[in-house]
Amino acid sequence: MKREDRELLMGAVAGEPGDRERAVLRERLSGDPELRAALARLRRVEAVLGESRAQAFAPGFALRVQQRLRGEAAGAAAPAPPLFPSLKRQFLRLAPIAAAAVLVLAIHNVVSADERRQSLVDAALGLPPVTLDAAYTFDATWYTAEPDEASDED
Amino acid sequence: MDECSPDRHLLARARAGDEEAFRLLVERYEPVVASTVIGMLGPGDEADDVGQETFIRFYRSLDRFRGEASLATYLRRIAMNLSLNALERRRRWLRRFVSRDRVAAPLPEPGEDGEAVIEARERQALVRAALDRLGPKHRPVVVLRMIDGCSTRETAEILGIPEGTVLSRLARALERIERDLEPYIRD
Repeated sequence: MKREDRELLMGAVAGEPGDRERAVLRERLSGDPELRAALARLRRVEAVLGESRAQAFAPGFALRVQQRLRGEAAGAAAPAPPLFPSLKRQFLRLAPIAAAAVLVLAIHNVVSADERRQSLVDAALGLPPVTLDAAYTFDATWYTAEPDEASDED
Repeated sequence: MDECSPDRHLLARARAGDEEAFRLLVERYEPVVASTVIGMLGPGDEADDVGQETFIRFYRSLDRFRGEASLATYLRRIAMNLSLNALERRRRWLRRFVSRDRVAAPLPEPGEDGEAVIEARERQALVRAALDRLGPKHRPVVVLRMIDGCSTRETAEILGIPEGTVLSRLARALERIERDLEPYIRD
């Protein structure tokens, strides 16, 4: 189909043709069955599209809009505290308690450690004693025996 | 807008904080917004959400609405912008999470008995599939001009493009839709 014919049809279907355009269209259509068929197809497409028009959302739409507006208004009246500052406050409150607990555990580990077999850091962290034998064999006695018994075996 | 129209009174009451007046405006213009949003996105929760957001934006801009355009045109413009944003989000999501190997599903074939026995629902699905195949430039033109029934001038105004562009995009879009709906519209 020629471009001007296509434009003519589009003008007929989707434009607002004036008297002159209507007269031109009538004249072209009267002598061209192919153009008449093309216009009929376009009219059917137009009808099918028009029938697909949705009229409403799911029931209760206006109510949902109002609820959302009320929710937003309530949220604006009492805004939620921002996340980062509130997390920071919680952290600052708990940090000294956590640090004190770590210190107590470290002191307990150092006091109860076998000084001959461990460095201070290892003892504070509660790590098991590392010996040359333990590097070659699995020293299961350390996990089950009392520290004094384990040192007796050395 | 007509000075004596009921919209004017409802708008004045809504601006004064009358919730009932705003609810009446929502009910009155729900079909306008639904037609645009569902035409663009298809039915479902996403369209409902965009519809709600349209009215919430409108509520926030009540004081700025002076009535230069009709309320329907104003709401359609908000609805169209939000729908295009939703389409863009959907496109990004699909690009990220859906395999590139996946090809578009073929359109369903009509029943052998012809259009007379095809259920309206099936035809709706076919039109939906054809609309979904249109890109963000062509779909709004088809929805506004051919489904919502806006004039070419109004369509151009809502989309902020010249009327000639509306017609040229429409011509290309209808050519494609005509091919997609071929089994249903053939002579």
